[in-house]
This record gives sequence, C-alpha cells and structure tokens, in this order.
Amino acid sequence: MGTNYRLRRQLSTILLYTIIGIVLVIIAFPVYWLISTSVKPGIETATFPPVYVPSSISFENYEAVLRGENLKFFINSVIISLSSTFLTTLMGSMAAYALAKSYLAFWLRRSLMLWILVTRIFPPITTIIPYYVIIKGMGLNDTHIAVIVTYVAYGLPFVIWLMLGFFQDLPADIERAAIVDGCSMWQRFRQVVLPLTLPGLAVTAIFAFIYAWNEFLYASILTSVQAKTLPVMIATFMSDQYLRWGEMSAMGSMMIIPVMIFSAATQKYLVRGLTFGAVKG
Amino acid sequence: MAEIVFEHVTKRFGSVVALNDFNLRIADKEFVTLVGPSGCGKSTTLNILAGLEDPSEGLVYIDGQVVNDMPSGKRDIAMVFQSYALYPHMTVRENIGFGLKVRGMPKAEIDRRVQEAAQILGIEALLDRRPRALSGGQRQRVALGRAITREPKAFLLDEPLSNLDAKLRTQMRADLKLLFTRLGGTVLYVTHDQAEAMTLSDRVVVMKDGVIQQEGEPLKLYNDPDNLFVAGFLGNPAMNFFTCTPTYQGDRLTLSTGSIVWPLALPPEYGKVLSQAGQQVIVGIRPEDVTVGLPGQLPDESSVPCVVEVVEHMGSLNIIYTSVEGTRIVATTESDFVARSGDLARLALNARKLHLFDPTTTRRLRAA
Repeated sequence: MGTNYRLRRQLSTILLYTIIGIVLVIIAFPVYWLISTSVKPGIETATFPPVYVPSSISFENYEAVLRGENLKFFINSVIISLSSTFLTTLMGSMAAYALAKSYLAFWLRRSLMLWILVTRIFPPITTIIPYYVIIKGMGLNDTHIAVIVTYVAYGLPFVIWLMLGFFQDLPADIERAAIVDGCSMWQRFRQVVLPLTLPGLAVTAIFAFIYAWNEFLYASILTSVQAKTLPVMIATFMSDQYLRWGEMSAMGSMMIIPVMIFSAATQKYLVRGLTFGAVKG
Repeated sequence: MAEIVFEHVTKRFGSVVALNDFNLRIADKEFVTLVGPSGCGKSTTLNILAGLEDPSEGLVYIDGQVVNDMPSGKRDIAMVFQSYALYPHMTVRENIGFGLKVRGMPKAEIDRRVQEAAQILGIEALLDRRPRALSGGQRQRVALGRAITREPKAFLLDEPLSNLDAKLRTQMRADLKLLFTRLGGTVLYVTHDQAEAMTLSDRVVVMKDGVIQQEGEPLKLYNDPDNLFVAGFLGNPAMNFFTCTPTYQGDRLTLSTGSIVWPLALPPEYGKVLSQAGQQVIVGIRPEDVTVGLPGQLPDESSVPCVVEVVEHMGSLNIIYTSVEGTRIVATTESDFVARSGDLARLALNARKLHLFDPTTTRRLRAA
C-alpha cells in the first residue's frame, strides 16, 4: 500500500514535470528561434528542413542594425513607451480611484464603465484614417506627442478597469482612518492608497508598457521619420523585393530586452498583483 | 477636551432610517458608550461625529461649535476602528505619527509624542515593526497609540475590542479603562457587548433601530430598565421573561402563568397600573433574583416546583436552566449547588426585583 502510494506520487511528479517541460518548450521556442535566427549565417535562415542549431554564430546582423539611424528609433520607442506608460498609469489610476470612491447611481456607474470600454470594442483599423486626418490637422503628424496621446487613450480603459478592482478591494477603514487623521483627498491617494495598490500599478504599468512597446498599426500610420518606433522600423526589413530575416531577428531580440528588464524589476509586485483580490486576506 | 452634542440628528440611507431624531449630550471628559445590536445606528452615530457621514437632518456640536460642514480632519477627533485600520505599508512608528505628520508638526515633536504614546501603551519595542508582524492585541495598542498621540478633543472607539479573543478582550477592557481614566478624555465608545458597556462607561446609551431606548449610568440601566429591550439586552445571562396574568387572591395581588400561581405579593400600588395594561403582562426577572433549591431547601408556600433542564458550571457560579410547566426560567446559583438534568427542584422569585412590562408597548409598568 505504502509502496503503491509512493510510486503513484513519483509518477504524478514525473508527469507534472513533463507537462511543465512541454509548456516551457512551447513558450520558449519562439524566443530561441528568434535569437538563433539572429546569429545564424544568412543561408540557414530560410532553408527546409529548418536548421535548429546554427552551424556557426555571427553577430553581423546586430552590427548591421545598430548602425545608422536605428538608435534614434530605439530612443523614440523608449520615450514613447515610458511616457505613455507613466501617463496611462497615473491618469487611469486617478480615474479609477474617483470611480471607486464616488457615490454614483448604479446605472450611471455602469454606463460610465461601459463607455470607458468603448474605445476597446471596435478594431483600431476602423478609425485609423479619420484619426490620421485629425492628427495631421492638428499639426502633430510624425511627433512623439501624437503617438503618446494615442497610446494613452488606448491604454486608459484597461488601466481604469484593472485599477478599479484594486481600489475597491482596499479596506474602507484604512482610508477612513486617513480621513480622520486629517488627510486631504490627494494626500490620501498618494500616501495611503497608492502605496497599498503598488502591485496593481505594477501589473497595469507592465501591460501598458508592453502595449506601447509593441504597437505597430498606429505607429506605422502616425509616424514616418522623426517619431518612428522600433516595430515600424522592423517592418522595413520586409518588402516585396527582400525579406531580411537575420536583421529582423536581431532587432526583435534586442527589442525584448527592455520588456524583460521592466518585467523583472516589477516582478515582485507582479505575482501579488495578478492574484490580488482573488482571496480576501 | 470637549463637550459633544447631537441635536435632532437623523440619518437616512435611501429609504432606510439609520438614525432617527437622535439627541445626546456628552459632557467634557465623560465616557459614554453606545450599545445595541447590529444595525441599531451606533456606528452611524460615530461616523457622523467623525465626519465620515453627513447627517440627513440635525446638528452636531463639538465644543459648542456646529461641525456639520467641517471636514473630518479639522474636527480634532481621533478614532479607533474595529479592524484597527493600521496602514500596512508603514511601521508602527509611522502609523502612530502619521496624523501628526499630515498636520505638519515638527519631526522632533512627533518623535516625542510617539515615544510617549508607545511608553503608555507598552509598545516601545514594536515601533519599527510593520502591522503584519504584530498580534491582534499589539495592533489594537498601535491603533490606540495613533489616537492618543493626537491629543484630540474626543476619542471615538468603534468596537475596538471585538476582534480580540475572549481573554485578551477582558484584559484590554481593564487597560482601556485605566488608560482613559489617566488621559481624562471625552470618549464615545461603540460596542454590541453589554459587558464592555457596563464596565467601561460613565453613561450607557442603549439603542435599537436608530432610536435611543434608554440612557443612564450602567447600574441604573441594569436595575431599572425602561423597556423590554433594555432589560433583555443588558445582563448575562439575560433577564427571564414570561407572560403572566395579574390575579387577586383575596386582597393579595399576585401573578399566574397557566396553572401556576406565583407565590408572591406585588405591592398594592401595581393594582391600578395592571388593570390598565389589560389582561396580561410580561414579567422580567434577572437570573440572580431567582432562587433554586432542591426539594426541602425552599419553603413550599413561597416556591413553585420546577424541573432542572441544564446545569452550566461556570466555575464561580452555576447557571441553571429550569422549566416551570414549560416556561423556561434561568437562575444563577453558588457553584457548590449540586443538581443534574431532570432533577426536580423548587424555584422562588424575589418579588422586589420583578420588572413588569406592557406586552403591547413593551414599556415598563411602574407602580403608580
């Protein structure tokens, strides 16, 4: 009986690790493929059957993409992503806090929440042309501001919905204690509420950052030279005459680094944030 | 410290009236407890005074000044919450000093006051810990520290002991009494625990459904309740109630329940009141005013037969649940009283400690 139980337990452990292994391979393979393609000799990038292990390693693709104006596009991406992440998180959390703490009629709150979500309902492509005309009319074409404003507008619904849950989960007595302690609304928000919802902020910031960092459609329409971002730049490795897999992969490999750094820096809060509110405790 | 006055305060939440024409004057340095069951409006009263809720009608005064439109932070009151409501991201020191910091007090003065409060409460060793590293009792002390360090006009305490275990609660109750006697502050204390109300307060206000049922010194309320609710709410074990019919045996006014005629004589002054009350009255008597004896221990002419249902040994006393022809009557006896379930016994009521209530109005019927 005891041996049987032990055997079953060992088998289930093996099974568990096997499943984890398969999942890991599925998740990690694209990343491996991206990085290996970036260092493969050009001839091995598009052969059949595929070459899984490069015959030799070279960094010439990296050298190629780091030359010229590409650094500028990298800086553009950083400026746009960080600014839009900061603004989205700040404005979204303030809006969510106001919504969480205001006494609104049920139907009004419901309508507001749905209305906030409206921008996420239709596919971005449907509005892109009029949007472009408006931005151009305002003289903001090919500027950082145009892209930042767009990302903030698109990121806000997500931040508001997510942060609302965090604010609503915050024990009411803690805020009441702050009120009795003499805090103004702003002091309450900054000194008590925000520090307690850091996990939520971290999660929303990561998602906002990833969205802005990877966004292609709006960036490709709204920018041309000055404010061009990395995803748009990567697309230029592709045309009807050529397909530069190696450089595209090198750029892609470098592009995932900031996201990984950003995620690692906020990881401490991330796990707490994603599970926050699941169990009251 | 300050006098606090509620003048015709009403609070409605939609169609629900949480507080109905509430009037209360709390003298400077008085310890007043609001007690009542859940939903009686006691916490609403506290929140209105704290500025966390606005009254629908009526005026609230602190120190002679109307504070209805004054923000909470400007009212100079401190509050201790049932959940303690400590700031989890701050250390004990920061928690206690936060209210002073917000008010822009110099750091040296904050440090001095925090140190002083910590010393009073015996939590000096905990100052650099965070709330999650503290036990319930320690958190309670920190919450108190946060209140006393402010040196406010009044302390508001919202069921501060209800999250503690029974032993700690009794200990903290005594500590609280000592603390506020020492500080000499005006205190409005909210609890649903009648023992806290009785032991801590100068004055107890019993509430139900947003209305004050009775207010007065604890023992006055205990011994002389105005209505059925107050009589039943205060006291543990609770007062016995049973329905009786006033009966004359010759000239003697007595009470009967079913076929039992209670062997006691009510003062003749009750005659007029009882005749007005109608056919029946509710009799209330506290367990300590009921005497239980085994057959032969109590004279037959002054007692009635009963059956012992349950005996609870509390250590210092026994609580005996008896049945007198189906009517349950609870009595307390000395701890050496020996009886078992099913025993036949006899039971006598102390006629001078009977309380009579009108079954319709639930008001106390007092001898004219």
